[in-house]
Amino acid sequence: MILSVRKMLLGIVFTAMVQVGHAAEVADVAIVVNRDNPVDELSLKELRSLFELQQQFWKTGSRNRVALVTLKAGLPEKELILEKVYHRTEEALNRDWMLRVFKAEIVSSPVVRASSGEVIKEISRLKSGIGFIDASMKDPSVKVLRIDGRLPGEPGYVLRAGKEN
Amino acid sequence: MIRSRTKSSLRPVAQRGSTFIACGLLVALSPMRPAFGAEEGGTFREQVRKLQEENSNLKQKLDSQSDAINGLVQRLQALEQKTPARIAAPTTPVVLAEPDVDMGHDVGSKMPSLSLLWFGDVDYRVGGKLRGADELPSTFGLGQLGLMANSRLSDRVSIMSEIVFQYKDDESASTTIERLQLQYHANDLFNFRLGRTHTPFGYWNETFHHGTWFQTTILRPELMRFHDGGSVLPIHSVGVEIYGYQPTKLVDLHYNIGIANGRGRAYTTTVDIQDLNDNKAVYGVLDLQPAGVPGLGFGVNGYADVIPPDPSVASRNGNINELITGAHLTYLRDNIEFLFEGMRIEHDDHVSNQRYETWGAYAQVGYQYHAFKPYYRFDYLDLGEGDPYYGPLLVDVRRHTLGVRWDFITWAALKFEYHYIDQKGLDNPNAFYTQATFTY
Repeated sequence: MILSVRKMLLGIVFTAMVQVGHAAEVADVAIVVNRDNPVDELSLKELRSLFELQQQFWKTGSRNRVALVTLKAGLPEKELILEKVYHRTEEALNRDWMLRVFKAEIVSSPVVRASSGEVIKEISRLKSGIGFIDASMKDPSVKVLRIDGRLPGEPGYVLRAGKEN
Repeated sequence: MIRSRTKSSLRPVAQRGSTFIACGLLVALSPMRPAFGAEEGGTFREQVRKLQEENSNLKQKLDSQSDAINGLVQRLQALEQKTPARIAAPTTPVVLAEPDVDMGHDVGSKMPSLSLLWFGDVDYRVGGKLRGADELPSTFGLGQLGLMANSRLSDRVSIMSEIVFQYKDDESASTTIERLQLQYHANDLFNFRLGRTHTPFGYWNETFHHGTWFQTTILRPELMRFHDGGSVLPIHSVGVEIYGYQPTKLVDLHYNIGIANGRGRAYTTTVDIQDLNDNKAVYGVLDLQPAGVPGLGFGVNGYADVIPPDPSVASRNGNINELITGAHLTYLRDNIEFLFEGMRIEHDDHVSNQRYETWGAYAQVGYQYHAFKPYYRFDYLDLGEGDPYYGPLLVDVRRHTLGVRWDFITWAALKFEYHYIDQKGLDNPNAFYTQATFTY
């Protein structure tokens, strides 16, 4: 009986892993802010402005300075944001951050975290934080924003990799 | 999704738990049973003992299975963290050198954080340069070594300084404070900057300066070249500026307006300590970026000053009114770099009552292909003939630059350029420049 339980559990694990692999084509990236942030929705243009740190202050609430939390290079979520929001490569983006520091437009480049889970932790800590995560990792400790009126998973959501089903 | 499935796998174990409860009830209810004979009583007690043993064994097994399941659940959660569901992990993740620096939002009780960046370059040149009437031989050359320091003192106040170490044409060493500015950030629309800044003329002068690593080409445009410490334009200012950013649905607007010490008696000097008259230079730049064409920017700029007399030059014993106007157009997107700037510099000389017009412009185009960026630039500088402020050292130039930049690693690059120069006094119009440029 114990053997059958183990088999069943292993079966579930393998099934889940296979589903993870198949689902790679319908990746959504969620934009998250601190739960206390009154902002619920952004346009893609506003998001771009925030992510490029052109807009450095939130227009609502305490008008705190925007704290951008980004992901390290090479992660699929970062690749999608580079393609859909920044329209440039990781190297070009790093060079741009350096240039912005050189122009004294920003003091330092954004906070970099290693995984979506770490971004969630950071955003839940930073009241003025904004970042991006794998949408399937969304967590009640942060708020997921609508982008151009849509949430991750909804048809027509803009921050989606690959083709929709 | 994975987590919910794992929870559902616990159900069979829970169902088996009801069996144990039933056994427990049976044991608990046994004293309430009617009295039996001695033999029957012994058999019943034996059955109860067996049931208790079985119950105990099953409980142990259940505990060990629960532990195993908890372990699996933890491993699944760890797997979820490592490989975000719904997104495939890259086969060869590329991790660039990315500074993991906190933006300083919790600086209240801490010492100010400081970030330092060094910029340097080493060059080799064949032809293309005059000293007096003589063309200079080919040479290696040490470029500038710039140290930029940035610090956020509070959420809204920051400091920035840039110091440049270099050897001049006469081989003497020099150290200059190129920038030192205290900034207050009220909001996106209103920011204040006090100190020595790069005068905002269009695009280049604010974007690139002593860090040659940033700029595609080796040389600055003729319009903004450093000539014996000076330039056709007043590239540095000491004063105060207000600048900001306002997005709208149609266009994003950037502006910068300032008031500063004016020009020195000669074009080669910036007035850092004591202005020479009460007329301050006023300037401003407006840059518009239409939302419909991401990457496109265009704008205008202006600068007005009264240049003081220079008693050491006979023809300069009166003021010169200076008015600089310009426009720029840039497109930076999808590996394409296009830059254009044009300036008109008007000098109204109070001594000769003459108006001198200097025109300068450049157009640069480049395309990033992997680590390589081929580019071309045309420079044009047409000085007002007889302008008493510029003197004989500055001459008209038309320069074609054809080159390639190779970013062999993220923070260092090699540049190779061919120049065709149409300049008075330069017999050989061909020149070759190379540069190794880096930041660290």
